[in-house]
Amino acid sequence: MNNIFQTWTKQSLSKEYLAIFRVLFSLFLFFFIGFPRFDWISSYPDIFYNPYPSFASLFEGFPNRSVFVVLNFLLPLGILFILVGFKTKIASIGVSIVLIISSSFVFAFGKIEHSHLINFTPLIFAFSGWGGKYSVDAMLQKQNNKNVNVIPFFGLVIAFSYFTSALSKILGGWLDFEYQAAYSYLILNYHFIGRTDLLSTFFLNIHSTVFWEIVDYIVILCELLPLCFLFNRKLFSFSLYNLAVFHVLVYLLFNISFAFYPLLFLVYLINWEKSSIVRCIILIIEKNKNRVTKLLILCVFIVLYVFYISMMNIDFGYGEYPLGYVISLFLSFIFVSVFYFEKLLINNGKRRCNKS
Amino acid sequence: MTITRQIKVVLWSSLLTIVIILPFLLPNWLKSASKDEIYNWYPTFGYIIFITLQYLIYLFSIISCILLLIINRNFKLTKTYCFFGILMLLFIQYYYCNNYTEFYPAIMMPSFSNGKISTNELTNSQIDLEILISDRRINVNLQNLLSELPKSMRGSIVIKLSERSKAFDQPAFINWLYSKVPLQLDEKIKTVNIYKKTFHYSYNKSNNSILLKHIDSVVVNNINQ
Repeated sequence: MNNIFQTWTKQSLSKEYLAIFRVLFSLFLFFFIGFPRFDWISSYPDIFYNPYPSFASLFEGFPNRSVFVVLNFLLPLGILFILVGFKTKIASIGVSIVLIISSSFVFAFGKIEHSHLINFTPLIFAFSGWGGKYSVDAMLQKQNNKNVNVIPFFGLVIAFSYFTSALSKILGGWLDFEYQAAYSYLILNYHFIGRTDLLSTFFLNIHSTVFWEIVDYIVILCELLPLCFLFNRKLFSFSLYNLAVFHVLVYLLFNISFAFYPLLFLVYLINWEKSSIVRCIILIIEKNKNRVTKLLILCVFIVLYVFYISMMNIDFGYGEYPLGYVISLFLSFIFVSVFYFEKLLINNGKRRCNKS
Repeated sequence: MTITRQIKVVLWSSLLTIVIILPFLLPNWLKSASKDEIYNWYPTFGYIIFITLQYLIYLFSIISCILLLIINRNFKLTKTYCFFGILMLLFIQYYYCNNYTEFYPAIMMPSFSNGKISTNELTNSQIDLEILISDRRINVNLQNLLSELPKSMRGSIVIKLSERSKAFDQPAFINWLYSKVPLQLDEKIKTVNIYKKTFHYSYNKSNNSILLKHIDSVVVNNINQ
């Protein structure tokens, strides 16, 4: 057991791989959040101010609009700094702090939405040295050698988050054969919140008690598995892939999008050392050291980004979420699937080699 | 057993004890931290001493834990301590959020914990405003006025707001209504009647519809301008 634990604590990623994850994460954050606006919060009177214990409970009411205008400006700037890797550590901590502060004011209305994984990721990876490669910091040789291996801790945070959800469901009676909780939530969502898009109507027509009871058990199993398999690399990545599928299904059935959560699992779903896709990416980056090429890539990125921003808030008629949320969910799921199946193929090949 | 080992055992067991009883004590600590209890100290004097003692023990344990980590040169062991320490903290956090009150930020996913919802007894509560202006009456669902907020948050926000019915008495609420409800320039709000309506439905599987059984309506507040 001790050996398994020590192996688990030693799993780490090299600077190159961390940098690739940094770029992917910040790109998704950029595309997902875009130019966020929190200044609407200050338009509400303080009668709505009912914060849970949080940063917002230090205040007696919603702060002035100028506070939110500053937050509106700081967030994309911080994400941009993470993307290009300029003052990465400070920018990562800053982005997390801005996200936590702004979220605590949104939740000060009296309801906590659980979006902490995205808010915590930059804070956790700030100490990993993810700005040590493919970054302005690396070019300026401002590298910090005092890096912490955050990979096991990040895994623990993901696994425990889902475990809390599973445990609450178990305690709340999801395993009771008399009630089909997932079905009841589907009805509530459909009729009272108006989440009637995609596959919700189709699944609402399935009245089989057995089917919905199985769904209840599968949901709990999906959420429990990551913590159970925390120390086993293969099974842990399998359970995280299950969660990625689970998130897509939740969107299709309940029209609830957890944005790019599947992307966060990439850290564990890629066989970083043997993935041909990762190797290609590194080759492309390292061969194109020409400044003109970099400038060209930057221009294409800016054009694409402006085009995307102009479209991301369009209500395209599939649920309450803007286009940005939905694209990021499906794109991150596609990424995860490609890398996970590549990993399976590599493992399969390895097994065959060993046999022969 | 060497002295160092004995000290370690004592320190770790005290820390473990504190960590286990912390979830039960923390709500009391928070309660004792309120100004009223400190001002009216006499009847609760003993209680405050008890709380202070607990604070000291907890502080002592944290310091001893940090010292142990510094003294202990065995890196592998330190890692193990850290892991179990973090895991314990996560469990305490979950226990606290589940039993007392949620806080933010916390490492929690949405629980959807109510697993015993009967499809024959579905309820939906909403807060309705009946706004009387000089010659007309406007009925508004408060939830629909919170358009900037995510849909999933609106329902529980208005219900929690209705539990603090005095909140509606503030002039800021009427001013906010002026900005949200479509009124003509010369129109002034005279009265706002606030109702909490709970709709009871049963689900009809055959045609995927919900049948309204009855409505409970409770007056939350009446504001006269």
